[in-house]
Amino acid sequence: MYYPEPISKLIDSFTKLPGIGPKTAVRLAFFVLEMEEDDVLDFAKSLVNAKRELTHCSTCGHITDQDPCSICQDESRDPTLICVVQDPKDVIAMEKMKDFRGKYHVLHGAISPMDGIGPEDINVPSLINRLKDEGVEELILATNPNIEGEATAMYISRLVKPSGIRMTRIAHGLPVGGDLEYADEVTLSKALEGRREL
Amino acid sequence: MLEKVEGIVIRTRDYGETHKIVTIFSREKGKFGVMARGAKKPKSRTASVTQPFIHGMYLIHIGSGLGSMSQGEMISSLRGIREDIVKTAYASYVAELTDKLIEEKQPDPFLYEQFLQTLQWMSEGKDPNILTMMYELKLFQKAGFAPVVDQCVHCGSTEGPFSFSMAEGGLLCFRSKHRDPEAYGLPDPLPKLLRVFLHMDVKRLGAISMKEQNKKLLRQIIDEYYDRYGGYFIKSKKFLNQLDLFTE
Repeated sequence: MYYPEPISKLIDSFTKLPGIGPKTAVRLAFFVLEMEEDDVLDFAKSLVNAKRELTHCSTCGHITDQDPCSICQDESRDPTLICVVQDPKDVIAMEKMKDFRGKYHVLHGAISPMDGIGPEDINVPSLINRLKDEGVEELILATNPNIEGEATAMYISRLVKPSGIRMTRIAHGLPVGGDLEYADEVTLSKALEGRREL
Repeated sequence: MLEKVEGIVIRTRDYGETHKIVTIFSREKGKFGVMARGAKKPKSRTASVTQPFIHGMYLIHIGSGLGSMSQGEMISSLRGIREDIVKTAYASYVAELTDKLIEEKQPDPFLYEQFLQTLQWMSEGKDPNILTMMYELKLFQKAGFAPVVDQCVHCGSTEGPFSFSMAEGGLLCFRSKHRDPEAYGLPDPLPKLLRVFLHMDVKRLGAISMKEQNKKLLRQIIDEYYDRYGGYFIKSKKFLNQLDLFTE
């Protein structure tokens, strides 16, 4: 044992975080030792609170400290428009845009044939219940543009289409600030497919 | 040294915030893993060529361990597969089975051609279930546990009717059927189809149709045979078994 037990436990805890190897964990642990006691207590409290006080919204599945979440409670938002995303982080990304005034539904994952993750493993049943109860008119499928995201979008559209609700998929194409010359064939063909009238 | 190889992406795994570890099944080098640095960034030039089932030319550096990808150029995106969830499920299954059953860095141009053609036919709309069975049997042969389908596994007779014995590992003729009372009785076209599936080049496949009940029986036999002799757990099989949820 090179370190006293408290610091060795702290190092072990840091290595549980993604992207943190043993060296970085040691550096972070020693940094914590140098921090003010109040800051360390605040840090520890934040960790515990984040775990204890956050829950998933019973309506949309987004992380929240109150149920239903602030987005679902917001009456100025259009309840007939639901944007379906894979993760709570995607809701934050969409909210940063400040353009979308509908509501969300978080799937907590995507159908992945390669990993054996099927429709039963994601948050689809509550979406179907919402469609029945909330008078939804349009469902925007904003899953990632990869195999898993496409499979999820296809599954939901097959499931919901018979009900007559309008289904839309977010556009795929060139990123803003990108270079046409360096775009690959799939992205370009998707961009061309989704072109619009000016 | 950088090398140019033609291959198909059969598996990808995220690595850190922006990288991917990609497994490519190639004509020249067999199956190998490479690190694609920055492939998860939205503006990355390797983002699209490191998606599963992309057939392309890759400029890679293969060392003794994990190689690295420096560039990739797409030959075909096999779009028909990614735009249909049923085809995606079958393609995922054949890709995972290939990944599990073949050794790293051992080229097999014939198997590569069969794999590529299987995916191409799937993309173009041929029955993915039949294509999967054809490819599976060839893969079992490569892995060394193909069933005996040319003759009776016990007496060598080529005279039917035949049944399929899991315990004996292949066909049993009517004289040897008593050796395995649990053997599946095979209706007339199935023994011949098994031979065709095992030996025929997928490229030569024309229009093929099978009765639904024969297809189901053959699927059941191949699944049970793999469970008995294959050994590796195939994650995508679970998804494939849930396919009725999509087709209902």
